[in-house]
Amino acid sequence: MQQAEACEMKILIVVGARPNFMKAAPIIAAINEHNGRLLADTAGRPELQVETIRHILVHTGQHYDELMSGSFFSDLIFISVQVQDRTQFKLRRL
Amino acid sequence: MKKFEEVLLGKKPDVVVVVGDVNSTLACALVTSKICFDPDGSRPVIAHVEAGLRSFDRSMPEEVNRILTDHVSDLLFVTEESGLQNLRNEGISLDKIHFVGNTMIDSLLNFKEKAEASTILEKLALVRQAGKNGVANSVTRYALLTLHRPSNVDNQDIFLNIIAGLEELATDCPVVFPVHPRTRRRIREFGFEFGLGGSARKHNGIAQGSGNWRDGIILTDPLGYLDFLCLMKHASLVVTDSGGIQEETTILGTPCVTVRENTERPVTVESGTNTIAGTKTDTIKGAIRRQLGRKRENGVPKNWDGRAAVRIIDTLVRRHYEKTSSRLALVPHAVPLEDRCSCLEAN
Repeated sequence: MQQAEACEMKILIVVGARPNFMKAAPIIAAINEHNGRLLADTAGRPELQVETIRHILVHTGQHYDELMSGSFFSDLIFISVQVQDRTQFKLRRL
Repeated sequence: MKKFEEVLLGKKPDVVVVVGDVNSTLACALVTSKICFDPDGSRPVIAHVEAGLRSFDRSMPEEVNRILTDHVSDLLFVTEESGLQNLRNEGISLDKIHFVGNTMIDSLLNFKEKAEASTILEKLALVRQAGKNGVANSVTRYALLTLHRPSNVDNQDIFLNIIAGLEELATDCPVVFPVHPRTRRRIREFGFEFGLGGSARKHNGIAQGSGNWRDGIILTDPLGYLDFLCLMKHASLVVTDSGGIQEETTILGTPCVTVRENTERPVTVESGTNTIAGTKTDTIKGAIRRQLGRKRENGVPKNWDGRAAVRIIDTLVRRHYEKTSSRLALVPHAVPLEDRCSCLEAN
């Protein structure tokens, strides 16, 4: 029980510009699907330590234009998947 | 990059997934490859989604991003068979490479039906109203254009050559042109003039030939995903310099003319609806004529089946639990290992 936190698999997904968003969204959906199946498979078996995947979505802000990226975040692409943890920052210059 | 380093040190992920070929893809892969979580030098596994694509044109900024990202990554998720070959030719070890398919196509298949709810066709006056005897609304013939590549829009002559290549098309049917911010800046700088919004109506059956064929090109702001998907699906033809659109039109069966000298996605030409037209006026005109004449068809490239992301997660989970040993029994087996490897063996 005490090791549960350390064992959980953490996946960080980076998106930067508009063409990235529709490539990344299915990955988050697949993580949620994986977690859902894992919890269903192990339901009622408290002796098992279930390790779901935790995901973190990071938007680097390469496309900071509202039209190019803002509408995408509010668009179905990311509304359709439940994002657990999100970090967003603006890159000034690479 | 500093900021991403802080995020990494704060979150300490097991895996960093980077997608595509934009600058931040490379920047974040590079930062991850250098990071050190503890004295024994452990760092996250770097996974590149859409690995192995090559245009063999290093003057494209994306090409450099692709090559370097692939070489610092630990896991390479490939979208098409050319990618397997390219990575092998560059000496990347086979156990890093997984041919999983195309996550962008996962999104496309997931949203294709939902995109039908978009009202963009009505907004652009591309729908012929229903007749009085209950005939359903029908979509007007139109083409779709996108241009954003610096090599195409930063040079006034090349940009003009491309636009001139559209003359016949824009006289024949409306050409909808959602404009990338970079392209909009150039249009303003170069003083180009196009039709705006309302001119679509001229094409709705009646008054053609307002004199200036460029009135047939309808500029819009960049569109949301669903609106754009709806436009791609119903277009008679798509003219583009984008990489992803070549793939999306392949699955939608919409003929595509790519105004570039090369493509890093050869499968879209081999089994899809794409053709490479270059950037000269005559070759573009010829390609448009040929593509308008072809039948709509969808060749579906291998593994472009909407399950690419599931294969990716399956691979990541297996690898994670192989490393940390223990509980492999809890890992669901969504895709049998042999399915993922079959293509590698076939080569």
